[in-house]
Amino acid sequence: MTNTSLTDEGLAAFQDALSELFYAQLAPSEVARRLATDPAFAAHRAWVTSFHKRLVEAQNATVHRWAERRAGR
Amino acid sequence: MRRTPPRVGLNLIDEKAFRAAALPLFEAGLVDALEVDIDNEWGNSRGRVRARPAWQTELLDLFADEDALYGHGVWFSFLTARLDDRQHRWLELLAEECQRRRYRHVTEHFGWMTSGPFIQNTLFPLPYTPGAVELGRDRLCLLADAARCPVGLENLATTLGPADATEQAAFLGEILTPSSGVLILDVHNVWTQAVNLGLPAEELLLGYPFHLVREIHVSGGSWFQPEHTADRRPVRMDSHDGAMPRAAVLPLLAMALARCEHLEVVFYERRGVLGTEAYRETYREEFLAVRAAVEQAFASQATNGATNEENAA
Repeated sequence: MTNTSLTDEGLAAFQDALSELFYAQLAPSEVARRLATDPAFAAHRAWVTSFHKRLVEAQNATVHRWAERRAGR
Repeated sequence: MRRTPPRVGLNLIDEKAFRAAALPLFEAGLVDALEVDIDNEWGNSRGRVRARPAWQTELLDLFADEDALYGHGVWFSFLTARLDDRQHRWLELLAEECQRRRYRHVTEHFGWMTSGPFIQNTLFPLPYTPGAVELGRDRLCLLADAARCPVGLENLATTLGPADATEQAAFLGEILTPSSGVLILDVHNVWTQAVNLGLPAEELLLGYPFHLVREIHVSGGSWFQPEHTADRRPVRMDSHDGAMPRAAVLPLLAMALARCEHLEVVFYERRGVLGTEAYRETYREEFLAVRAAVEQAFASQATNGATNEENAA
Protein backbone atom coordinates (compact mmCIF):
# COMPACT_ATOMS: atom_id res chain seq x y z
CA MET A 1 0.00 0.00 0.00
CA THR A 2 1.06 3.56 -0.68
CA ASN A 3 1.90 5.31 2.59
CA THR A 4 2.27 8.82 1.25
CA SER A 5 -0.61 11.06 0.41
CA LEU A 6 -0.90 14.47 -1.16
CA THR A 7 -1.50 17.35 1.24
CA ASP A 8 -2.86 20.75 0.28
CA GLU A 9 -2.12 22.93 3.31
CA GLY A 10 -4.06 25.90 1.96
CA LEU A 11 -7.18 23.84 1.39
CA ALA A 12 -6.66 22.09 4.73
CA ALA A 13 -6.64 25.41 6.57
CA PHE A 14 -9.79 26.40 4.69
CA GLN A 15 -11.49 23.12 5.65
CA ASP A 16 -10.41 23.54 9.27
CA ALA A 17 -11.95 27.02 9.35
CA LEU A 18 -15.17 25.89 7.67
CA SER A 19 -15.50 22.96 10.11
CA GLU A 20 -15.08 25.30 13.08
CA LEU A 21 -17.54 27.82 11.67
CA PHE A 22 -20.33 25.26 11.35
CA TYR A 23 -19.43 23.60 14.64
CA ALA A 24 -20.00 26.97 16.35
CA GLN A 25 -23.73 26.70 15.48
CA LEU A 26 -24.13 30.37 14.65
CA ALA A 27 -27.20 31.96 13.08
CA PRO A 28 -27.15 31.67 9.27
CA SER A 29 -26.81 35.45 8.93
CA GLU A 30 -23.72 35.43 11.15
CA VAL A 31 -22.26 32.49 9.21
CA ALA A 32 -22.78 34.50 6.01
CA ARG A 33 -21.13 37.57 7.54
CA ARG A 34 -18.06 35.62 8.60
CA LEU A 35 -17.81 33.86 5.25
CA ALA A 36 -17.79 37.26 3.60
CA THR A 37 -15.23 38.90 5.87
CA ASP A 38 -12.98 36.34 7.61
CA PRO A 39 -9.53 36.12 5.96
CA ALA A 40 -9.63 32.33 6.49
CA PHE A 41 -12.12 32.10 3.61
CA ALA A 42 -10.45 34.60 1.29
CA ALA A 43 -9.06 31.99 -1.11
CA HIS A 44 -12.56 30.78 -1.98
CA ARG A 45 -14.57 33.90 -1.23
CA ALA A 46 -16.75 33.70 -4.32
CA TRP A 47 -17.75 30.14 -3.47
CA VAL A 48 -18.54 30.71 0.20
CA THR A 49 -20.48 33.91 -0.42
CA SER A 50 -22.75 32.02 -2.83
CA PHE A 51 -24.07 29.85 0.02
CA HIS A 52 -27.83 30.00 0.58
CA LYS A 53 -28.74 30.79 4.18
CA ARG A 54 -31.44 28.11 4.42
CA LEU A 55 -28.91 25.52 3.19
CA VAL A 56 -26.44 26.81 5.79
CA GLU A 57 -29.10 26.27 8.46
CA ALA A 58 -29.69 22.71 7.24
CA GLN A 59 -25.94 22.04 7.26
CA ASN A 60 -25.73 23.47 10.78
CA ALA A 61 -28.32 20.92 11.86
CA THR A 62 -26.47 17.94 10.40
CA VAL A 63 -23.15 19.15 11.80
CA HIS A 64 -24.81 19.43 15.22
CA ARG A 65 -25.91 15.82 14.90
CA TRP A 66 -22.70 14.30 13.59
CA ALA A 67 -19.67 16.44 14.46
CA GLU A 68 -17.24 15.08 16.99
CA ARG A 69 -13.84 16.43 17.96
CA ARG A 70 -10.78 14.46 18.93
CA ALA A 71 -10.58 14.23 22.72
CA GLY A 72 -8.95 17.32 24.22
CA ARG A 73 -9.05 19.38 21.00
CA MET B 1 -25.91 -3.09 -29.75
CA ARG B 2 -28.15 -4.46 -27.03
CA ARG B 3 -26.95 -3.95 -23.49
CA THR B 4 -27.11 -6.48 -20.71
CA PRO B 5 -29.70 -5.43 -18.12
CA PRO B 6 -28.09 -4.37 -14.85
CA ARG B 7 -28.46 -6.26 -11.62
CA VAL B 8 -30.93 -4.83 -9.15
CA GLY B 9 -29.98 -5.05 -5.50
CA LEU B 10 -30.32 -3.81 -1.97
CA ASN B 11 -28.11 -1.85 0.35
CA LEU B 12 -27.65 -3.90 3.52
CA ILE B 13 -29.10 -2.13 6.54
CA ASP B 14 -27.41 -2.84 9.85
CA GLU B 15 -30.54 -3.63 11.83
CA LYS B 16 -32.62 -6.69 12.54
CA ALA B 17 -35.72 -5.22 10.91
CA PHE B 18 -33.88 -5.37 7.59
CA ARG B 19 -34.00 -9.17 7.76
CA ALA B 20 -37.76 -9.16 8.13
CA ALA B 21 -38.22 -6.50 5.48
CA ALA B 22 -35.92 -7.98 2.87
CA LEU B 23 -36.28 -11.73 3.46
CA PRO B 24 -39.28 -12.16 1.11
CA LEU B 25 -37.31 -10.41 -1.62
CA PHE B 26 -34.27 -12.65 -1.14
CA GLU B 27 -36.46 -15.76 -0.98
CA ALA B 28 -38.18 -14.80 -4.23
CA GLY B 29 -34.81 -14.49 -5.93
CA LEU B 30 -35.37 -10.82 -6.68
CA VAL B 31 -32.16 -9.46 -5.14
CA ASP B 32 -29.35 -9.83 -7.67
CA ALA B 33 -26.67 -7.95 -5.73
CA LEU B 34 -25.85 -6.60 -2.30
CA GLU B 35 -24.14 -3.38 -1.33
CA VAL B 36 -22.70 -2.97 2.14
CA ASP B 37 -21.35 0.00 4.08
CA ILE B 38 -17.93 -1.58 4.01
CA ASP B 39 -16.58 0.45 6.94
CA ASN B 40 -19.54 -0.16 9.21
CA GLU B 41 -17.40 -2.25 11.56
CA TRP B 42 -14.51 0.20 11.94
CA GLY B 43 -15.41 3.50 10.36
CA ASN B 44 -17.03 5.59 13.04
CA SER B 45 -15.10 8.03 15.12
CA ARG B 46 -14.77 6.12 18.33
CA GLY B 47 -12.42 3.59 16.84
CA ARG B 48 -14.32 0.66 18.27
CA VAL B 49 -14.53 -2.31 15.97
CA ARG B 50 -18.07 -3.66 16.05
CA ALA B 51 -18.28 -7.20 14.80
CA ARG B 52 -21.10 -7.86 12.37
CA PRO B 53 -23.77 -10.33 13.48
CA ALA B 54 -23.58 -13.76 11.89
CA TRP B 55 -26.61 -13.20 9.65
CA GLN B 56 -24.80 -10.29 8.02
CA THR B 57 -21.48 -12.04 7.49
CA GLU B 58 -23.28 -15.03 5.98
CA LEU B 59 -25.12 -12.75 3.58
CA LEU B 60 -21.91 -10.92 2.63
CA ASP B 61 -20.05 -14.17 2.05
CA LEU B 62 -22.91 -15.54 -0.04
CA PHE B 63 -22.98 -12.53 -2.36
CA ALA B 64 -19.18 -12.34 -2.47
CA ASP B 65 -19.09 -15.96 -3.64
CA GLU B 66 -21.54 -14.99 -6.39
CA ASP B 67 -19.33 -12.01 -7.35
CA ALA B 68 -22.27 -9.78 -6.56
CA LEU B 69 -21.00 -7.88 -3.51
CA TYR B 70 -20.29 -4.13 -3.66
CA GLY B 71 -18.54 -2.08 -0.96
CA HIS B 72 -19.53 1.48 -0.12
CA GLY B 73 -17.49 3.60 2.28
CA VAL B 74 -19.09 6.14 4.57
CA TRP B 75 -16.44 7.44 6.95
CA PHE B 76 -13.17 7.94 5.03
CA SER B 77 -13.71 11.63 4.15
CA PHE B 78 -12.39 11.42 0.62
CA LEU B 79 -11.38 15.02 -0.07
CA THR B 80 -9.88 15.96 3.28
CA ALA B 81 -6.85 18.00 2.26
CA ARG B 82 -4.59 16.75 5.07
CA LEU B 83 -5.16 13.09 5.93
CA ASP B 84 -4.84 12.10 9.57
CA ASP B 85 -4.02 8.89 11.43
CA ARG B 86 -7.69 7.88 11.51
CA GLN B 87 -7.86 7.95 7.73
CA HIS B 88 -4.61 6.06 7.22
CA ARG B 89 -5.93 3.41 9.62
CA TRP B 90 -9.21 3.37 7.66
CA LEU B 91 -7.24 2.53 4.49
CA GLU B 92 -5.40 -0.29 6.28
CA LEU B 93 -8.69 -1.76 7.47
CA LEU B 94 -10.18 -1.41 3.99
CA ALA B 95 -7.26 -3.41 2.62
CA GLU B 96 -7.86 -6.14 5.21
CA GLU B 97 -11.57 -6.32 4.39
CA CYS B 98 -10.91 -6.51 0.66
CA GLN B 99 -8.50 -9.38 1.23
CA ARG B 100 -11.18 -11.13 3.29
CA ARG B 101 -14.00 -10.84 0.71
CA ARG B 102 -14.24 -10.25 -3.00
CA TYR B 103 -15.91 -6.95 -3.92
CA ARG B 104 -16.93 -6.00 -7.47
CA HIS B 105 -15.92 -2.45 -6.67
CA VAL B 106 -15.50 -0.15 -3.68
CA THR B 107 -16.76 3.42 -3.60
CA GLU B 108 -16.81 6.44 -1.31
CA HIS B 109 -18.75 9.69 -1.19
CA PHE B 110 -17.61 12.75 -3.08
CA GLY B 111 -16.83 15.62 -0.72
CA TRP B 112 -15.15 15.75 2.66
CA MET B 113 -16.25 15.17 6.23
CA THR B 114 -13.41 15.62 8.70
CA SER B 115 -10.60 18.14 9.03
CA GLY B 116 -8.29 19.33 11.80
CA PRO B 117 -9.54 18.28 15.24
CA PHE B 118 -12.71 16.67 13.88
CA ILE B 119 -12.87 12.89 13.73
CA GLN B 120 -16.48 12.67 12.62
CA ASN B 121 -18.80 15.07 10.85
CA THR B 122 -21.32 15.38 8.07
CA LEU B 123 -20.36 15.70 4.40
CA PHE B 124 -19.31 19.05 2.94
CA PRO B 125 -18.83 20.03 -0.69
CA LEU B 126 -15.72 21.93 -1.75
CA PRO B 127 -14.81 24.44 -4.46
CA TYR B 128 -13.97 23.05 -7.90
CA THR B 129 -10.30 23.93 -8.46
CA PRO B 130 -7.33 22.24 -10.18
CA GLY B 131 -5.85 21.58 -6.74
CA ALA B 132 -8.99 19.81 -5.57
CA VAL B 133 -9.01 17.67 -8.72
CA GLU B 134 -5.39 16.70 -8.09
CA LEU B 135 -6.27 15.85 -4.49
CA GLY B 136 -9.17 13.69 -5.68
CA ARG B 137 -6.97 11.75 -8.09
CA ASP B 138 -4.48 11.14 -5.29
CA ARG B 139 -7.21 9.88 -2.95
CA LEU B 140 -8.57 7.60 -5.65
CA CYS B 141 -5.10 6.04 -5.97
CA LEU B 142 -5.03 5.49 -2.20
CA LEU B 143 -8.40 3.74 -2.36
CA ALA B 144 -7.28 1.59 -5.28
CA ASP B 145 -4.01 0.64 -3.56
CA ALA B 146 -5.95 -0.48 -0.50
CA ALA B 147 -8.92 -2.18 -2.15
CA ARG B 148 -7.10 -3.85 -5.08
CA CYS B 149 -10.29 -3.69 -7.10
CA PRO B 150 -12.07 -0.98 -9.11
CA VAL B 151 -12.85 2.09 -6.98
CA GLY B 152 -14.90 5.22 -7.38
CA LEU B 153 -17.20 7.88 -6.03
CA GLU B 154 -20.86 8.69 -5.52
CA ASN B 155 -22.22 12.12 -6.41
CA LEU B 156 -22.96 14.24 -3.37
CA ALA B 157 -26.41 15.43 -2.32
CA THR B 158 -25.19 18.17 0.00
CA THR B 159 -25.14 21.62 -1.52
CA LEU B 160 -24.51 24.99 0.06
CA GLY B 161 -24.56 27.06 -3.11
CA PRO B 162 -25.32 26.68 -6.84
CA ALA B 163 -21.81 25.64 -7.92
CA ASP B 164 -22.02 22.52 -5.76
CA ALA B 165 -24.72 21.28 -8.11
CA THR B 166 -23.83 22.83 -11.44
CA GLU B 167 -20.11 21.95 -11.33
CA GLN B 168 -20.21 18.59 -9.60
CA ALA B 169 -20.57 16.46 -12.73
CA ALA B 170 -17.50 18.00 -14.37
CA PHE B 171 -15.58 17.89 -11.07
CA LEU B 172 -16.28 14.17 -10.67
CA GLY B 173 -15.49 13.51 -14.32
CA GLU B 174 -12.08 15.16 -14.01
CA ILE B 175 -11.19 13.10 -10.94
CA LEU B 176 -12.45 9.77 -12.25
CA THR B 177 -11.62 9.84 -15.96
CA PRO B 178 -7.82 9.35 -15.90
CA SER B 179 -8.12 6.07 -13.98
CA SER B 180 -11.53 5.05 -15.37
CA GLY B 181 -12.91 5.25 -11.86
CA VAL B 182 -16.40 4.06 -11.06
CA LEU B 183 -19.13 6.66 -10.82
CA ILE B 184 -22.18 5.93 -8.70
CA LEU B 185 -24.98 8.10 -9.96
CA ASP B 186 -27.47 8.65 -7.14
CA VAL B 187 -30.58 10.01 -8.83
CA HIS B 188 -32.16 11.06 -5.52
CA ASN B 189 -29.04 13.10 -4.79
CA VAL B 190 -29.36 14.85 -8.16
CA TRP B 191 -33.02 15.60 -7.44
CA THR B 192 -32.16 16.79 -3.92
CA GLN B 193 -29.68 19.34 -5.24
CA ALA B 194 -32.12 20.46 -7.91
CA VAL B 195 -34.99 20.94 -5.47
CA ASN B 196 -32.86 22.78 -2.94
CA LEU B 197 -31.48 25.21 -5.50
CA GLY B 198 -34.50 25.55 -7.77
CA LEU B 199 -32.70 24.00 -10.72
CA PRO B 200 -34.09 21.56 -13.32
CA ALA B 201 -33.13 18.05 -12.21
CA GLU B 202 -33.10 16.71 -15.77
CA GLU B 203 -30.52 19.29 -16.83
CA LEU B 204 -28.29 18.47 -13.87
CA LEU B 205 -28.56 14.77 -14.61
CA LEU B 206 -27.70 15.20 -18.29
CA GLY B 207 -24.40 16.83 -17.35
CA TYR B 208 -23.01 13.68 -15.76
CA PRO B 209 -20.36 11.56 -17.50
CA PHE B 210 -22.63 8.57 -18.14
CA HIS B 211 -19.79 6.49 -19.63
CA LEU B 212 -18.27 6.26 -16.13
CA VAL B 213 -21.46 5.12 -14.40
CA ARG B 214 -21.30 1.52 -13.22
CA GLU B 215 -23.84 1.83 -10.45
CA ILE B 216 -27.02 3.78 -9.76
CA HIS B 217 -28.52 4.52 -6.35
CA VAL B 218 -32.21 5.16 -5.82
CA SER B 219 -33.42 6.20 -2.39
CA GLY B 220 -35.69 8.44 -0.38
CA GLY B 221 -35.10 11.10 2.21
CA SER B 222 -36.78 13.68 4.37
CA TRP B 223 -37.31 17.44 4.70
CA PHE B 224 -35.63 19.96 7.00
CA GLN B 225 -37.64 23.02 7.91
CA PRO B 226 -35.52 26.19 8.26
CA GLU B 227 -36.59 28.46 11.10
CA HIS B 228 -33.92 31.16 11.18
CA THR B 229 -33.91 32.44 7.62
CA ALA B 230 -36.25 34.67 5.64
CA ASP B 231 -36.58 31.92 3.02
CA ARG B 232 -38.45 29.14 4.83
CA ARG B 233 -38.75 26.70 1.94
CA PRO B 234 -38.02 23.17 3.22
CA VAL B 235 -34.62 21.70 2.46
CA ARG B 236 -34.48 18.19 1.05
CA MET B 237 -32.12 15.90 2.95
CA ASP B 238 -30.51 12.72 1.62
CA SER B 239 -31.28 10.94 4.87
CA HIS B 240 -32.61 7.69 3.35
CA ASP B 241 -35.19 7.60 6.12
CA GLY B 242 -38.29 8.50 4.15
CA ALA B 243 -40.25 7.22 1.21
CA MET B 244 -38.81 7.43 -2.28
CA PRO B 245 -40.44 10.34 -4.18
CA ARG B 246 -41.40 8.10 -7.08
CA ALA B 247 -42.87 10.75 -9.36
CA ALA B 248 -39.60 12.69 -9.23
CA VAL B 249 -37.00 9.98 -8.97
CA LEU B 250 -38.22 7.20 -11.28
CA PRO B 251 -38.20 9.43 -14.41
CA LEU B 252 -34.60 10.38 -13.56
CA LEU B 253 -33.80 6.70 -13.18
CA ALA B 254 -35.30 6.00 -16.61
CA MET B 255 -33.22 8.80 -18.15
CA ALA B 256 -30.07 7.40 -16.61
CA LEU B 257 -30.87 3.81 -17.59
CA ALA B 258 -31.17 4.86 -21.21
CA ARG B 259 -27.77 6.53 -21.18
CA CYS B 260 -25.40 4.51 -18.98
CA GLU B 261 -23.78 2.11 -21.43
CA HIS B 262 -21.62 0.43 -18.80
CA LEU B 263 -24.16 0.22 -16.01
CA GLU B 264 -23.70 -2.91 -13.92
CA VAL B 265 -26.04 -2.57 -10.96
CA VAL B 266 -28.89 -0.49 -9.50
CA PHE B 267 -29.26 -0.35 -5.71
CA TYR B 268 -32.26 0.71 -3.69
CA GLU B 269 -31.16 2.34 -0.43
CA ARG B 270 -33.11 2.84 2.76
CA ARG B 271 -32.07 3.31 6.38
CA GLY B 272 -33.87 2.64 9.60
CA VAL B 273 -37.58 3.08 10.23
CA LEU B 274 -38.41 -0.48 9.21
CA GLY B 275 -39.83 -1.27 12.63
CA THR B 276 -43.44 -1.77 11.58
CA GLU B 277 -44.91 -4.10 8.98
CA ALA B 278 -46.33 -1.11 7.14
CA TYR B 279 -42.84 0.38 6.73
CA ARG B 280 -41.45 -2.99 5.70
CA GLU B 281 -44.19 -3.35 3.09
CA THR B 282 -43.35 0.10 1.71
CA TYR B 283 -39.69 -0.89 1.61
CA ARG B 284 -40.49 -3.96 -0.51
CA GLU B 285 -42.86 -2.01 -2.76
CA GLU B 286 -40.22 0.61 -3.44
CA PHE B 287 -37.62 -2.00 -4.29
CA LEU B 288 -40.09 -3.69 -6.65
CA ALA B 289 -40.87 -0.32 -8.25
CA VAL B 290 -37.17 0.20 -8.93
CA ARG B 291 -36.86 -3.33 -10.28
CA ALA B 292 -39.89 -2.80 -12.52
CA ALA B 293 -38.42 0.45 -13.86
CA VAL B 294 -35.21 -1.34 -14.79
CA GLU B 295 -37.06 -4.24 -16.42
CA GLN B 296 -39.29 -1.86 -18.35
CA ALA B 297 -36.32 0.14 -19.61
CA PHE B 298 -34.59 -2.95 -20.93
CA ALA B 299 -37.78 -4.51 -22.29
CA SER B 300 -38.23 -1.33 -24.34
CA GLN B 301 -34.66 -1.63 -25.50
CA ALA B 302 -35.20 -5.25 -26.58
CA THR B 303 -38.39 -4.33 -28.43
CA ASN B 304 -36.73 -1.41 -30.18
CA GLY B 305 -33.74 -3.57 -31.04
CA ALA B 306 -35.92 -6.28 -32.55
CA THR B 307 -37.85 -3.71 -34.60
CA ASN B 308 -34.62 -2.20 -35.90
CA GLU B 309 -33.31 -5.63 -36.89
CA GLU B 310 -36.56 -6.42 -38.74
CA ASN B 311 -36.37 -3.10 -40.56
CA ALA B 312 -32.74 -3.72 -41.49
CA ALA B 313 -33.63 -7.18 -42.87
